[in-house]
Amino acid sequence: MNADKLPSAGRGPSEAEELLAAPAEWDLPPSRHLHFKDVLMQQIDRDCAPAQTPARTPAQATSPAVSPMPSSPTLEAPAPRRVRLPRPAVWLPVASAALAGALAVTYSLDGHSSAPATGTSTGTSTGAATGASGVNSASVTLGRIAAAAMATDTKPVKDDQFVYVRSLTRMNQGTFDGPVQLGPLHTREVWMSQVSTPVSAGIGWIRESGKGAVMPGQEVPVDSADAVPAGIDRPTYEWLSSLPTDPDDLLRLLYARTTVDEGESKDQAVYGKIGDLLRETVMPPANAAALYKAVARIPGVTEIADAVDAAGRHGIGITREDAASATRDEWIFDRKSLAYLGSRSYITKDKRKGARPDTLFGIDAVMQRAVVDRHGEEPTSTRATPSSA
Amino acid sequence: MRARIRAGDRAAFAELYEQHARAVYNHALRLTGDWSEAEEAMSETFLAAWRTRETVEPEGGSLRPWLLGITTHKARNSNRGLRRRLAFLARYPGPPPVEDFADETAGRIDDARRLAVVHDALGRLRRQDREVLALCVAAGLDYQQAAEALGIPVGTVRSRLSRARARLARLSSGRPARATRPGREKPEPRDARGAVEGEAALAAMFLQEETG
Repeated sequence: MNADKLPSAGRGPSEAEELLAAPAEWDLPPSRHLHFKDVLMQQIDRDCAPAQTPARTPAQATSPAVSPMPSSPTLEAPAPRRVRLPRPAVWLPVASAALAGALAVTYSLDGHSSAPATGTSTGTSTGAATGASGVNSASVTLGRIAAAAMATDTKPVKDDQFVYVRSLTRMNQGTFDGPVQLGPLHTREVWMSQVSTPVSAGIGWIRESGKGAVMPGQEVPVDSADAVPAGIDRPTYEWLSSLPTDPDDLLRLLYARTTVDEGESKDQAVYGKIGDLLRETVMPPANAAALYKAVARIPGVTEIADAVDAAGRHGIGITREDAASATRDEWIFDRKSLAYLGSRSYITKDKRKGARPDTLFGIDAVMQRAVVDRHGEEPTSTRATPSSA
Repeated sequence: MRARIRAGDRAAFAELYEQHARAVYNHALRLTGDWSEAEEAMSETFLAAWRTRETVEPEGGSLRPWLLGITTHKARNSNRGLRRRLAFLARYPGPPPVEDFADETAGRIDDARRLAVVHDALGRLRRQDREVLALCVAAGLDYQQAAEALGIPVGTVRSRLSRARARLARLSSGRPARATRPGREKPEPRDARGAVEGEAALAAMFLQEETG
């Protein structure tokens, strides 16, 4: 290609375009490059070890993936980092209307291990943390939701099985600095591993299909360079069933284990974390009921008379908004069966001119939950499907 | 190479990593604008490649489109910083304060500036257009390869790319680079040669629109 042929000869390209069109621009520090190569090679060795060399070397026997200690971190891992698994409605939106200015600063937030929520937090966070018997305005409804969850029937899930969840989702596909534009509704299926020992490769699989999906119809594995034990960041059936069923005890545990993002109150973080635990999981009825009763004790949780999920199903909404956060999640429950239907996410604050105060930027609907023996396998029946209004 | 990858040859994966890690990391950086997310997306791309090695077509050219497709998928699924950024913005609207760069080394500041500028440009495109532009223009895939990477028809790659170019052209004619911050000089071209290369690449970008 020849620069002389540039059609718009009168004007040079913008700096941004030059940079964009230039070859690869950034290098990973050599130590990180090597670290991630090690991660790959060790995974290959682990996967090949049983088949090709039945007699394991000591190194392999103590490798993280086969460690019997659920909490042991990977030896070669850098400082433990908060692991967050992909979520359908909240994590998938790539951009929000509010992001433009914040992107450039991200690295410095990471680099300076920012202090948790500053003085902007509402100051209510200790009430629930101490197990005070606070109730919020949604507590009656949450009590009914808990009772309905208690009455459901769930078969135990084995360590070697997968929790399958099929949902419909719409994500923001707008520009970073423009208004939110929700993309077309598409299907997302996940198969989450139930292995309780730490895993790096094999956490789960995602398959998206329909308009707007990347690699539609293909299963893409969910992996992590650092091994993730079953726990609050990888909620397996077994881990969920090990949680206290007393709501106050449960809430204390969740407050202790939930990390707070910059600018977020502890109450909001725990509310959001419970939302994660409800999303792509299967758990015993008593634990589901305890989670809802725990939510009833978080200050500031409110009820919305009518909310609608990505499948167009109307129901009762539960939400929480606080001064320190710029987003708000809603969970939607069937009005009759009180089963979990789906969720919506809103941007509640956008200080740019002309921005609307409450903008939907993600929405989903859980269409099926099931347990299967292999990833890629679709459930044959519709067992454990939440009632579809 | 494809046969060795499909067969799970350890050395082939080591080579694959050495050949493509940088491109994968850069693609992830362009899409996420975040150093740590990009590292993770890169690492996860190769782990995913290992685990889905049997899905590689036996025949074909470079494996880079396959890897970058996985990276695109990972980038979409790894917006761990979204809430943090939103929360930040709720309190500090507008561009980030310059002081944030104060403690960084000079090289890091340059890296951060360049990333901010690139991400600013990409951020003005719709997500799907952004992904195609990052694959075709920045990562250098052709239409067919980009289609392969994303699992979409070639015609869709063409239309998204043309929409992205039209928007970029419109933007570059209308406004100054937004990432230039008050109190900071406009980021300088890396050097004369770099600028020329950039122009050539940009020319290629527009020429492809007519001939591709």
